[in-house]
Amino acid sequence: MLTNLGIPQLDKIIGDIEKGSLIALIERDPRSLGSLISLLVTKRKLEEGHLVALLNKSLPLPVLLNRLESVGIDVDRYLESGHLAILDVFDSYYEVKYDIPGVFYVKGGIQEGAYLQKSVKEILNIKKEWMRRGLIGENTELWGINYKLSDYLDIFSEYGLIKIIETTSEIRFVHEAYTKYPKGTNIWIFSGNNQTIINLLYRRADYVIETRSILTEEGIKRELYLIKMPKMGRIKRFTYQIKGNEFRII
Amino acid sequence: MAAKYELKNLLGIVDHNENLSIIERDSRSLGYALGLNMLKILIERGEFVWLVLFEPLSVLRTNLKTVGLRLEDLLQRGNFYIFDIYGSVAKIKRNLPHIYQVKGDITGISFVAKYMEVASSALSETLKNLGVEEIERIWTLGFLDSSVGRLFDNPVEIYKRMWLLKYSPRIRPPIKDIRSIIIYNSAEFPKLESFIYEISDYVLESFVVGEDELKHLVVVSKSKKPGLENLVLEYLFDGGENVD
Repeated sequence: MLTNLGIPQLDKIIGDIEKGSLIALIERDPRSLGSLISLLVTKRKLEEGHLVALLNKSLPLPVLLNRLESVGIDVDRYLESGHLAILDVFDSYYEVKYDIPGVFYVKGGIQEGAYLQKSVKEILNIKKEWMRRGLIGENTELWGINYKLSDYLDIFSEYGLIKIIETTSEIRFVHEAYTKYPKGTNIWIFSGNNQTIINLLYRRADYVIETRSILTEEGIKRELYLIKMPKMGRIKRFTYQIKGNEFRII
Repeated sequence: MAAKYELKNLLGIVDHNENLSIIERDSRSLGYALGLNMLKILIERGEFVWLVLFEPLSVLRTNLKTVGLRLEDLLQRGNFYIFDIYGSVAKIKRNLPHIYQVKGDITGISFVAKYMEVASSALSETLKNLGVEEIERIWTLGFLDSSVGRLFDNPVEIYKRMWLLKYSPRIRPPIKDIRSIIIYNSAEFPKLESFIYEISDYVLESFVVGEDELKHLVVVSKSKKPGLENLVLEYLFDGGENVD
């Protein structure tokens, strides 16, 4: 069963993706706008009628909602319809809760050791809700956007994050959220240059995409690298622009 | 080839509730002065400006002079207010009007709750003083947002949560249109850059090129509106206002 990212110029270079794949999107520097690409994928998938679970590690919820709106996502509509579900890890950490439909929280606070089990329980709740509302059809794609893994480092130690990454890939084989319900295609966004974490992502991901930027007298040059794919080959490098909310290879 | 552009036009790209960041990529580029020049334009237009101060007041005073503004005069105008984060943390009292501080224990995340409270009541008080129920538009300007890194133990979280003042419907003051300018030096607090790019609808990066003859350049490195992306501008400080 195949899918794609829904961004024509990216699909052209990456090709079809097997459903259930793990895609590591590594934004080497924020100016490359790599994480913005994941929001554009979110937008496209929602527009196509698919289901997206966004795991928010980065922003206070009202700020996140504003940022989703800024890329043209009709947030209220998709949260109301259930197509967009947000697991609000950021606010769960501070035990802040917003009463907004479609927003889930990790219950009982976030501690380094117990976090993963608790968050997978909420993934299960999201999938149960999708099933209850009859949203999972034969051709419906499930997407998990992990936004952004690097921000765990603000609340957990590096060791804690390593454990989370290691256990997450194992848990997908055994937990009810993944055995009883369909597995989603996941994008894990990591911003920065922590090579220890990046190494772990490289080994676990089916696809590794890196974005970088260079500042020149003529402007910003942005480069996207396709480094790992199921069919291995040479590393491919592309120059791209994001104009407004449109991704273009140049 | 750097293009011709007026600073006021650059400011004009910022629309309802949008955010523009100036990232000073190279200290020599004096990106913060570009931000203060924007402040000058806003003040001259009679816009209502709320400056969030992360630096000592004396540093602001010195740099306002370089763009032809005098702090004490600004504070008398009635359209310029300072939220003094630096003074709140350093517990330095101010004897000037229209400067607000958070008092008491402001360590950690409790600072944010108090900041919201003081900022909301300061804005309500302003509305009362002006005898209006709402202000059509305010601008916020951080001087410099990157300096927050020196003020708290967990500055990333505190800074992110400070934005709830603008985005949380529960906290947001009765102002429909809040436009923000962020000034950020990338070398001083690199951990915040990812968020700065995230929160910004527009990013201008200031940098310097050349060896014998140095030029101040600014590039539009993120733009919500198509057409401005990657625009490179040269700017001149003499005379202050024109980007040329």
